[in-house]
Amino acid sequence: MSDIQKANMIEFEYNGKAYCLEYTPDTIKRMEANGFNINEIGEKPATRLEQLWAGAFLAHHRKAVGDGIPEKLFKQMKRREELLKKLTEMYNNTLEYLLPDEDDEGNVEWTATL
Amino acid sequence: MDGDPVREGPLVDAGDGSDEGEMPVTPISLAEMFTSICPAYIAMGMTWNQFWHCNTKVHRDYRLAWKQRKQYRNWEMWWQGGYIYEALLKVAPVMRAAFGKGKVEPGKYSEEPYPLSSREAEERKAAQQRQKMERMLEVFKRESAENIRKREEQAADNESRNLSP
Repeated sequence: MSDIQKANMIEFEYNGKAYCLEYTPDTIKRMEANGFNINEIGEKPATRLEQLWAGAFLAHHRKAVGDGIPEKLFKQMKRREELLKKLTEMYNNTLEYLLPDEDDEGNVEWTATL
Repeated sequence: MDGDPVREGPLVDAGDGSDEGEMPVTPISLAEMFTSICPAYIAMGMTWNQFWHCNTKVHRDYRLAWKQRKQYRNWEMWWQGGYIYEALLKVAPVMRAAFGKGKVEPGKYSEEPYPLSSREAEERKAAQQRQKMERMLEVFKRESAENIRKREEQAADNESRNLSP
């Protein structure tokens, strides 16, 4: 796995188990289906942070979500502002990487001489 | 429209059969947007599972690879166009002759493909110059040998005249 790819994920160990948190189109779709809206992060930061946190487990640890591991861990989490920043960045990057940049394609200048 | 399947994605049908259906008329959810652009990524070579379950860094790499492929294809088509253009130019006199007077021979088609890089072009140019030099050297040697032979013949001729009473 490349360093660039790692930059868009959170890795840690808990109770001897390795966790890798990241977002994928599938997890974002599931989060949205559960009522998550990134635009509401400023209005209800605490609730949304917990949803963001739990959503990041969906890609690789769906069973852990069922077992309530994200909630248990979230209660022990420190530096929540930093966590919110990192998770929001990961979430936004997921969307950003999926869509082409404005200068990625198009705007091709061409001429024809007949 | 710029040919980018992702950029041209999500289209929402206005539902009234009008052309306005080609523009997003209502804000769509991320899920709808993902569903809408999924075929574009599949066209770029991703599998359905990769699209939905991979970190989107992978999506970006696929998109960049697709962009490079498109650039290469564009270059390849331009290259092929060169051959067609040259072929047309060379056939044109014959076509003209068919409707005019006199016999016109078509131009000769390229003996080898166009060089793919400036380095290859330089190497070919250098090889051509080398061949030219070798030909010139051969001519020079031949002429020198001929001159020597003539001088020797002349000398022998002079000598035989001097010796004769």
